[in-house]
Parts: sequence; C-alpha cells; structure tokens
Amino acid sequence: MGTKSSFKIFAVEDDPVFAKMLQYVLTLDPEHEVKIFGTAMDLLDNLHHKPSLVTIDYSLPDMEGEELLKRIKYQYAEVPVIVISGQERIKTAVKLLKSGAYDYITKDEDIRERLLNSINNAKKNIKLANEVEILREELSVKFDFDKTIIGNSPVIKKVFRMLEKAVNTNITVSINGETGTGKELVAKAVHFNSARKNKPFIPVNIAAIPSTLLESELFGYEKGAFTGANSRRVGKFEEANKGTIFLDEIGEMDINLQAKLLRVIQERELVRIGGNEVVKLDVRIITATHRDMAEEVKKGNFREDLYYRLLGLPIFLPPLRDRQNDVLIICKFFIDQFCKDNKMDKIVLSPDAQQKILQYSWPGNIRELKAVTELSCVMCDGEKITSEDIQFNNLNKEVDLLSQEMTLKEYTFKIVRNYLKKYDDNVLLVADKLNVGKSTIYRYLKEMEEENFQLR
Amino acid sequence: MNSTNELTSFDFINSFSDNNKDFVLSMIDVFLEQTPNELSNMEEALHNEDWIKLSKSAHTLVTSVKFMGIFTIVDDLKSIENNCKDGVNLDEVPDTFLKVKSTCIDAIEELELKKKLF
Repeated sequence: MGTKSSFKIFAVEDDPVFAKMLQYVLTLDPEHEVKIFGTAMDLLDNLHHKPSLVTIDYSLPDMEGEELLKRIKYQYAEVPVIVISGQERIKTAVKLLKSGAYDYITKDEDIRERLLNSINNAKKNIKLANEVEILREELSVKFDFDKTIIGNSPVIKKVFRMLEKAVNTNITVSINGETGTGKELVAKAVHFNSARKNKPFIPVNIAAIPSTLLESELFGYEKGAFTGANSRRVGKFEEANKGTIFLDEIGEMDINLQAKLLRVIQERELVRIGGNEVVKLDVRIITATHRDMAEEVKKGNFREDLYYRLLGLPIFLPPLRDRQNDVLIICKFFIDQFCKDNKMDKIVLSPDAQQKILQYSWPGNIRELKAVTELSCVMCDGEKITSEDIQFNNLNKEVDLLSQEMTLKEYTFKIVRNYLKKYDDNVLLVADKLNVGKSTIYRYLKEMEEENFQLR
Repeated sequence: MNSTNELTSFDFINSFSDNNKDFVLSMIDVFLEQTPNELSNMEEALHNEDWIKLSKSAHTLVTSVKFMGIFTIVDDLKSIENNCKDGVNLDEVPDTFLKVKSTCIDAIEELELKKKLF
C-alpha cells in the first residue's frame, strides 16, 4: 500500500488527452505518486508494486473495465478502484459498484472535484482501516498469553496448556473460576490468539442484562417485533459472526431462554425475534461462570443438554490463594505497570510487605490484588512499599483474620479487639454479642495489655 | 458554449487547471498529436467495417474533443460509438464520420493558430 510518505495511485487510461488531465489533477496533491498505464495489461503487470488506489477507464482497448475490476479485486481486494467512464449508464454504475468498485465517475465538467473528493474519501477510509489494523495488532500483543496470564505455579501452568489447546481449535470453551480470577481476560486471550483474531469479540454479561431483554439482546429483532422496536436490530450473536461471543455469567441465564440458546447452538443459525429470515452463524462460543455448573444442573437450574453443549474445553482458573508465589509475581507486574502508566520511578516491595501479601487469602483474587497494589503504590514513599502501605478493604476482614497463622489466644484477642472497636468500647454490649461475661472481656483486656497486644 | 464562431474553447481546461497556461498548452499539443492518429484509426476501421474498433476510437476521441470545447461533434461521436457498438444504423456512420473528421481538421488548424497567440 505505497510508502508511508506517498500515496501511490495507478491510473489506466488509453486516451492520451484524458491521461494528461488525470496526471495533472492527481498530482495536485504532492503526497500522490501517480503512474499512468495505457492498457489494462500494463496495469495488471504492475499491480505487484501495490498501489494505494487505482483508477480505471471503463472502456479500454484490451479489456472491459468490469473484467479489469474483477482481476484487480481478485489480487488485491482491499485496494479501492475508481471507475472513470465516458458513459452515464446507471445500470453499468450499479453493476460496477456491486462488483466492488469504490466509485463510478463520469468524464464530465465536474470530474476534477468528483475525482478529488472520491480519492480523499478513499484515503480517509484507508487511514481508518490502517488504524483498525494497528489497534488489532496492539490487541493481539496485549492479549499474548505471557502478558495476560502471569505466574509459574503448577496450577497456572495447567491453564496455559489448556489455552494452547483452545487457540488451535474452534472448540467451545467454558471457563470456571471465582470472581476476579480473570475469566474475561482469558476469554479475550483465547480469541486474540486464535484464527478469529481479526473478527469481532463480543462480550455479553448475562447477569447484567434483565432476563426480559436478554433474548432480543442475544438474537436481535425485526422492526415492529414488539412495542418500541422501531427498526431492525441485530443481536450479539450476529455481531459476533465469524468471531467469538463471550457469554459471561452463563449460570445466571433464565431456564426458558436456555432452550432458545440450545437451539441456536445446535442449528448454528437463528431467526431474529419477529422475523422469518434464517441467519447462518459461524460463531465460537466461550462461556464463563463462578458457579459449579454441574451442581446447578443437579438443582434443576441449568439444562443438562445445554451444559454438555457448552462444556467443550473446560478451563478452571484457580483462586489466587492456591497459586503460591504467583501472587508476588503478579503484584510486582502490577507495580511495574502502575509506575509505567503514571511515569513513576521503580517501586519495590519490602520483605514485610511481601510477607503480608503472601499471608492474605485474596478473596477478590486478581482484581483485589490489582486494587490493593495500586493503592499501596500511591500510599508508599515512592521507592518501597512496606506492610503498612498495604491496606485490605473492609469487605474481607473476616477472611483476613483466618488467613493469618496465629495462636488461639491471638485469634481471641483479635476478635475481642475488633468487637470493641465495632461497638465503641462498650464492654457490656461486646460481652453480650460474644455470649461471655463482662469479666471475661476485662480479663482479655488485661492480658492484652500485659502481652503488649496492639489494642487498635 | 462558444460565444464566437470558434470551434474550440479552453473554458473547461482553464477552469480545470485554474488557468494554468503551461497545462493548457501541453493539452493542445497532446490533442494536435493524437487526433490525426485517431482519425486515421477511425477511417481505417470504417474502411474495414471493423465496427468495434470504430466504436472504441470514437469513445476515445469524444473525451478529447469535449476537453477542447469542440462540442459540435460530441453527439456525432457518441452516435458513432453507440451505433457501431450495437450494430445499428451503420449506414449513417460514414456521413457522420466525415462531419467529425472535417470538424476536427478545422479545429486542429484553429488550435495551431491559437497556440501561436499564447
């Protein structure tokens, strides 16, 4: 597609007068590098030089414009071809545009403006297409496995092996894992490392869409299908055609809709609500849930046939607490990422901070780790994160209590201390809540003081 | 288009090129060089009754004559192009061609004169 600095235009025109005019008008923009060819064969012989745009005369001595257009499109489908013709035949124009011509321009008085407008529009489209291509490349890099899933633990290595299998085939993938384990990230990694990477990745969070709207959201609807359906709308499945649909929180899907989903998956086609047209589908399905789906089937909340249809290649994402030292590797990754994004100097983790991170159970998994890490980067002195800079959120305090290895007495002290804090040091209320006598509370307080246990 | 009795007009190429004199001169040169060849091609095709070739030559010439403002023969060239292409009214073609040829020869003379005045 030409060099970065030039926009290469190849024009084929047998009439020397018109060729001269084309040369003149096309070179008005210094960015354009223009080559004029007298015959269709001359142009075809030079197509390997990859023009950014081609203009062709409809009537050439050695080939009709329509045939030439087909041959160009066969070799370089993405190159815009503008057909310039002495004829004003609407049928010809429509036919050529249907065959892939970018524009059809007649040799009239306003040809200069029309041609330049058309070329400028084509350039804008090419620029947009290039930007999309660059963004796609960036996405692919972003979702490289080694950038998406970090860790060396045996459990995560098993996930890597499953991912490799997932990207090399079109098999349905079902991801299971606690909240915050990175299910969507894994789904994206599968898509952007697969043969479908240049096609759409459409995520749908089943839990976030009211069940009454989910059907139309997934399968689309025709104009007039229901009150408020003012125009046709394609559903998420159609949007994802040739690409991947990611059905997050699949376990939350209403049992009635499950039957419709099953049919779509089995038939690989759908009919929009209120319509008759059958739409063929070529969609890869990736599902995710935090639920035990086999258990949901037993309970009757999820159809067994659909469960097996969607099971495909199951990938279990282990919780962070089972990933041993991965937590430190991921934490350091988040620190480096945060420093880079915020143009900060490198920050390290002190040994006591590392200990604190390793001892915690991370009920919110990687999502929580990221939030805690970013906060500690802000709270620290800018060079080193200490244990005091690491703050866990209130939601998980109880779990935090159990995650640390302590003696029974230490656990007791901690419980008493938390209750006193919660009930504004009201010993009577705390004793009542813990179902012990007030003297027991006073005794613990005395012991805590004697053993120098931190009261706050 | 022409306000005088002139056959040719530079209105279009002047407007096309923002009155670029060099460009207009170069266009005249190309026309003067190309048109006699194209007329010979047409004459030969007519003699051989090669209607497809005649149609294509007429198609090529029609664009050139439009750009040189020779509008009096635009319709004639189009009729040659279409009749020869469709194989209809072929008996009218020789007379129409003669008109085209004669007008082009006059236009060439006129352009040569105009070129000297540039």
